[in-house]
Parts: sequence; C-alpha cells; structure tokens
Amino acid sequence: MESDYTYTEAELIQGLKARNQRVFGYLYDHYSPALYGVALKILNDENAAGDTLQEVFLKIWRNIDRYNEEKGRLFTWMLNITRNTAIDMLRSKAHRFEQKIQDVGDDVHLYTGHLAVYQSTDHLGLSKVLEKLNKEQRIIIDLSYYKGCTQEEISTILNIPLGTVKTRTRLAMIKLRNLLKTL
Amino acid sequence: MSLERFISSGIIELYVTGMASEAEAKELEAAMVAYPELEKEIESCRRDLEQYVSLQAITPPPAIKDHLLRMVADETAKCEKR
Repeated sequence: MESDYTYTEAELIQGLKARNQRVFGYLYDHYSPALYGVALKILNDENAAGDTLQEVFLKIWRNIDRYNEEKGRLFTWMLNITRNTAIDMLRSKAHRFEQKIQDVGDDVHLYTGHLAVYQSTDHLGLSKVLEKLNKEQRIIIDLSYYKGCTQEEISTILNIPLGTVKTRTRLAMIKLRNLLKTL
Repeated sequence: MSLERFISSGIIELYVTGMASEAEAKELEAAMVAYPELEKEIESCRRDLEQYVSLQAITPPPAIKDHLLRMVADETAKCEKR
C-alpha cells in the first residue's frame, strides 16, 4: 500500500469527484477484495469475476457524480453496482435457471479450499459464522443476496411455500446478525 | 401496520437482501416516512449483511489494478487534452 493515510468516506467521495487518481488507487486497495469476493461468489468463475471487478471500478470512476450520499453509504453504492454488474453478466452468459442452484452447491469450494489461498481478511471470523449458520440458512441468504433470486424463484428452488421463504429469510438473517455480534 | 409489526414481519430482511417485491418495497418506503426508526433498523440490517459480505473478501489478481490505473490515467489525459 502506498501510504498509511486513511481517507474518511467524505474525503474519498470528494477525491473521486475531483478525479484524483491517487484516491482511486486507495479506494481500489481498500474495497476491491470485498467487491471481488461478491463477484466471484455470484459468477463462480475467476475470469468473469475479474472482468466484472474492472467494469465495476470503471463505473465507480465514471459515475461518481451520480452517487447520492443521502441515499446510502459509499460502500453500499459500490456493492450494489457490483451485484448488478455481476448478475447481469451471469444472465448474459445465459446461465440456465438450474445453474443458480448448481452454483450455490459448487460454492462449497469457496468456503473451504479457496478461502485458505485467497482470503485476505479475518477468515476465522467467517468460518465461525458459517459453521453456526446451517446450510439451509446460508443458501437462502446467498440465493437472495448474491444470485438475485426472487421469493418465487427461491420457493421453486427449495421447494417450499412462499410464506415459508419469508419466515426462513427472516430467521436466517436474525441468526446471521446474532452471530456477527459475537465476532 | 405498526412499527413492531413491520419489524417482526420480516419485510426489512427481504428488502435488504433485495428479495422484497415491488409492492413490499413501496410499503416499507412509505412506512419509513411515518416511522423514522424504521430507517435505522434497515440501515443496521444492511450493515450486518455488508459485514457478512466483507468477511468473504478475496484479494483479486494484481494485474487488474495495473490495468485499471492505466485506463483511468489514459481517460483523464484524453479529457484534459480536450
């Protein structure tokens, strides 16, 4: 990393709006692992995730003037761009509907092997969370957040009634949030 | 719906994970005007989900950064020429 200087969110936004390339580099260093993790989880393909990440940062650079601080934090905005870009890419690759389920099943390698190699943050925390969240709870959060599935799609995929999807999502999120508090 | 009903209905979680239907999202957004506390609930739920996402951070291949910085520098140079 170039320097130890920490930018506040306001400084970051200001720097980006002023087209400061140094600030852009800092933003990349600090946020690319989280955003790449999201893209990889959605696409399950390192090349596609890399292309997505590049597109996402170009969008951030080009569209920073469209970012509205009143509507949410910078990270939330960047995460939304990443999810939308990656989900668009997933759909353009003409992944079949069933592929979404397949991908969630395949994600197991992300939770195990890959983590040890690439994980840049505190993965002890993550394994602690994942261990306690059961598979069904994890899948429901992943299908909704990462794969952009609707309630109806999740109801079909998991073969559970629509009402149950709602209850389970709520319970899964409550469990997740309680687990995060223990970290 | 009362504030407690909203909080216990699970609609906040659906909204934050992006699963709320258009009607549910509209209902919640309208309710935020009546109950400002709801906004805090939503933001706290969103932060938790984002923490979960951040826990799964993975360092991307270094070539991506070099490429991006070059593209951004080129773009900026072109803009300045104009």
